Amino acid sequence: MTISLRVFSLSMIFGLVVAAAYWFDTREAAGTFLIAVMGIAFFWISAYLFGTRKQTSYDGDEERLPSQLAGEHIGVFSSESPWPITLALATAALLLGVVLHPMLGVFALLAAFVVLWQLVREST
Amino acid sequence: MIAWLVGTNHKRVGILYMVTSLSFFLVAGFLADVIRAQLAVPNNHLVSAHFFDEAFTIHGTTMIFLFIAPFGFGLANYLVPLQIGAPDVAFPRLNAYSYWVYLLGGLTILSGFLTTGGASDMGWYAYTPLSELHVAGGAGEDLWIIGVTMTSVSSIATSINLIVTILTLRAPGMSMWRIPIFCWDMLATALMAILAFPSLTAVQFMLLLDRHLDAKFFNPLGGGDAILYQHLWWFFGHPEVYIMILPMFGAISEIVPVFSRKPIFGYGGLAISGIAIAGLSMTVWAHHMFTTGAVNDPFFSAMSYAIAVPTGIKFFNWIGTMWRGALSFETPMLFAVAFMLNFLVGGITGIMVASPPIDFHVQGSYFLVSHFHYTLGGGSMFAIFASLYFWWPKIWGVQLNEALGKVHAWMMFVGFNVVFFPMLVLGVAGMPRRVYTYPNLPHWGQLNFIETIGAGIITVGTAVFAFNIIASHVRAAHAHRPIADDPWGSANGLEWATSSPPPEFNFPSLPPIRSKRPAFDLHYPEFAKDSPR
Repeated sequence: MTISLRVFSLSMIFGLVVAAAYWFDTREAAGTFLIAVMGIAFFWISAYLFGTRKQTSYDGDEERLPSQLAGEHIGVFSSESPWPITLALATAALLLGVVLHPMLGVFALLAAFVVLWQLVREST
Repeated sequence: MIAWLVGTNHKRVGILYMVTSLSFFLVAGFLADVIRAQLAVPNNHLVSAHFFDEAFTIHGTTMIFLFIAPFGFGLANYLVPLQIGAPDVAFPRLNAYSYWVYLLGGLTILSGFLTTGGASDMGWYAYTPLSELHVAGGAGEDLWIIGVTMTSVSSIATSINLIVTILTLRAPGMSMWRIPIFCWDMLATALMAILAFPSLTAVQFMLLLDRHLDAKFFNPLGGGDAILYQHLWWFFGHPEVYIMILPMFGAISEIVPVFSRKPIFGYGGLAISGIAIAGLSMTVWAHHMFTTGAVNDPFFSAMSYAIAVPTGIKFFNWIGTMWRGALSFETPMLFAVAFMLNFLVGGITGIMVASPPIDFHVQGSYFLVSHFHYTLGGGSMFAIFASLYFWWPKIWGVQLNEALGKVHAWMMFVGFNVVFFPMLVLGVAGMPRRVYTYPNLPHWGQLNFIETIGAGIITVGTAVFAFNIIASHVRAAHAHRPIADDPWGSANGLEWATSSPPPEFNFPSLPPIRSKRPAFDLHYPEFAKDSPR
């Protein structure tokens, strides 16, 4: 975790420094905002890694064999679900509704909410 | 069939991604052949001017949004969990969703051909005002905008999945300094994607609002700004170039050591250079806009030059890996070396156009077309074929025929350079890109005709590849011989420590991970102590 934390922290500093340099050089708002967003995004990931590094760190761990950790619960990995393709169809209908007919979009939005609810039910 | 529709296992989704993207490649290749046939001779009228515009728009869109970038994500879907010792990606359902949205987005773009006005003809970046409703008012353009937006949603979803998987699902012992370079480069790619694609989604929505609700985001008459479109587009568009090439850098970094019989040279440099390329690529977008006169040329020129440094590090490390290695040139290695040669031309011409004076001269010419084809066609596409030959035995349990593979590699290399090298000459001579036809100026007809012959060679080469797949699978079905975990004999990554193809959750039991090449350690324990830690 230390390595990834270092990589993301340095990337955050890079983004914020370049955003500042770009603003002082150009006074151009759109580009400055976009570069600053990069720095903020890396800050977000760095903050997450900083906050969770104690729970998830295996970096440099050369002592434990995978078999010694067998049985640890790392989550359930579903092999099948009908909802991803259904949600994708709803997404397509929602976007097509913007140009084809607003009612298509409305129905697709409702369908998407139902599918999302099913996804949450299935994965909990 | 139902299993494929509802399947969420990363290998199944990865295969769907790769097969779909290769199908889209065939569509894009057909359109490229139409373009080359039209331009074979001066003053030609083989197809209509309108269809020609549709052909180059959908060719570019398909290659970028539907073939090269999704293939990288597909390969990553298949390989990343295997390489880090995970049973699947972090969010399998989200993974399946991202694939289906991508497929539906692609079909939406291509469905434009079925409308009365035809498919979009705005060019692959759809600049305003040429993409505004009063100029491009067909349904094909709307379908293009929606389809591109869907592929964008798909890329963001799959990128989130890959980042979380790499950061949190590594097996014990698989520290960040041990993950394969492919995983490092996919991490960099996914980071770029979650930063760049929201800009694409936003700008396409803004364009849609301009077209249908007269929002005037990009219309100066309503207080909008046409240049804003270019800023938002290229803030996505330039990182997209690296989103297409970085996964392939990673794949080449996996292939070269295996056929050099050496550990990768300069692991740390390769890993960090991928992240550096990702960071720098977010700060160079306006080098596509030098000639607008509305951007700070020195800033973007300097940042663009800077990208050559981490890219050069990767090149030197590949050469360093090959240096004094026991080289052999099986098909994946042939494609890998061809990739390096082609990408070198693309990289050097890229440094040239990063210089504003040169860019002003060649902007909008065939020089530029040649440059980006050398990077994305000669680079990414060749690396895609290298990856296919390299990982095909792992994915399908079938080894592709070597002789046919070599014929394929040579035909692609010769054909590609016959098409795209003359374009550099034509571009400097002033031939503009996207022209429907051209006058009979000195050498223009001959060079264009040579390029069309090259396109024919590539087409035949692709047919050889298709034949190779069929022939190899038919022969394997009759032979009934299982393929080894590591059919290349000296592979390094963890994916080569499980069966070919792997079981549903990848590993019945994981081997100890004590170095950067756990599969090599497993198969050659007597040399394990020499493996880089």
